[in-house]
Amino acid sequence: MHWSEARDIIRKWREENARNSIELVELWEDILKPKAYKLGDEHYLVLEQVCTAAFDCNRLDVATDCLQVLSSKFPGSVRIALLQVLHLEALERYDDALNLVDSIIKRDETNAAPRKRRVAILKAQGKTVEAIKDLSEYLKVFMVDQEAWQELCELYLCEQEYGKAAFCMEELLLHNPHNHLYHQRLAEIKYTQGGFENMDIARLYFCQSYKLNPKNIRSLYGIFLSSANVAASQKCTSSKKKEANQLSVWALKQINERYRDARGKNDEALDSLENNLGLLHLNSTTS
Amino acid sequence: MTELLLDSNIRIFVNFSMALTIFLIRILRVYMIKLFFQEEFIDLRNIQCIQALQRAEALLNNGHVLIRRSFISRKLFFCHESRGFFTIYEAKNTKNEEESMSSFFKDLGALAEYCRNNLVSVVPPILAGTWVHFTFGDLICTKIPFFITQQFKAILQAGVDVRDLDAYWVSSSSWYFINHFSSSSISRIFLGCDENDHIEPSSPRAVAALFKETKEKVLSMRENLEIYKHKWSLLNGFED
Repeated sequence: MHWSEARDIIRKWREENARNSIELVELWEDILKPKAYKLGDEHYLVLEQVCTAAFDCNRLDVATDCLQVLSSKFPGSVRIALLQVLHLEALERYDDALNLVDSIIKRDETNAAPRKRRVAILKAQGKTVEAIKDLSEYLKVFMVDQEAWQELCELYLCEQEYGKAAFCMEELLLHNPHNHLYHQRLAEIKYTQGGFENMDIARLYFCQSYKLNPKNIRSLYGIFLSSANVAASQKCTSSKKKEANQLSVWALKQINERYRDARGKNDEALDSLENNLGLLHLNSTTS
Repeated sequence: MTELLLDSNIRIFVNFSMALTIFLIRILRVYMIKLFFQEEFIDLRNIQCIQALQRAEALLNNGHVLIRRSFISRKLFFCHESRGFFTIYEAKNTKNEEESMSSFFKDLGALAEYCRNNLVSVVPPILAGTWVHFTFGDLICTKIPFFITQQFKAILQAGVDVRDLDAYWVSSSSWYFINHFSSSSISRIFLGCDENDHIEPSSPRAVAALFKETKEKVLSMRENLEIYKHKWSLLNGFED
């Protein structure tokens, strides 16, 4: 491969925020490193990228080389300081990393990157509660940062705070009302929360997700389970019960058809699927 | 009337030296700005406000995907009567405005800022203009390659008061102004930045305007949220 091709590939990854760490480090070591002087100013961008990738795959030798070049070229730069934080993290010196991040934040309060880094360090240490606290402080200021909302949702799920996780998911939904995966996720959280009301909401969100993407089999299963659950609930009015029952039957039929299409006419497997779904249904109503 | 013939030395001694002076002054100004205006303008509160506005807009546009309870809780976050984000922002802002209005002229910091601004953006061009005026003031230095009306004489022939001169001759003072106003794009090419990028937000008037703009946006956004009638779109959103 010619070095300019490698450069173009790396540039594309950089622009798309694709990580591809292992391939990136390989490209760098095999092709681009001897020709680095030909890159001009882009050299430093590539170095930054390679440095992060090298930390990703624990190639500390590559990373420290990059870091040395960068820090001699740009002493006092915040971006380089963040790379140094990554280095400390890779060495598992979390306390030093935290101190360094704090000093960076103090230097430039308006920079979002070090604040997020801090959350990542706390998460790596397993201090989920503190990470949540930090991240919500961060989100009080940078409140349209979708990545951060998503991360907060994950963290809340780890702590089994489903109500709060649902709130984060709703925030994402506000910004991407046509993303079927976000609908599905919110429905799953609501389903996990349980209770008649939440189950009903989950059913509707599953339906919306399925409507947005009819190939989403997970939401189809979701429709089946949540509507069966709604139908089995004692709080359910009779008209709603009927509707939910219809919906669950319909969803089951759709799932069956999907399997039939995929597998050809293998009735035995389908029978067992139906049995399993019936069991699942039973379990969810008794629990 | 016979055609005027310009001395070819004018090209080197007037046009070239003028362009060079203007360019050097541009460079000087950029470095003066770097020297004087180091503080960052954007602060945390501004970021927060801008992002809050974006979030509120998303809520307005896509609030229908949320269930009613979630929508209301977000609406209250923005416009609760005493604790809402926008309410607090407005209250703070009016207070700030009163303070800043009364203290603008007393405050030495603001005054110094104003002086520095003038020093950087107004004084060098004036000095250069005076120099050009006294050195080359009464010279014709170039010619526009097309005919224009007599009304342009006052603009193009500043400093040269000859009644019978055709309007397409340009005097050196006017040439200086034309050069001066058109040189910003050239300096952007050479220096990679324009001084106006730095000056605009730092001047107190610009800051006040910016604040007013966000303030108005906050006000209208709050009103929009107040009157927005929420309806969950999913309730009748699915049919088999």
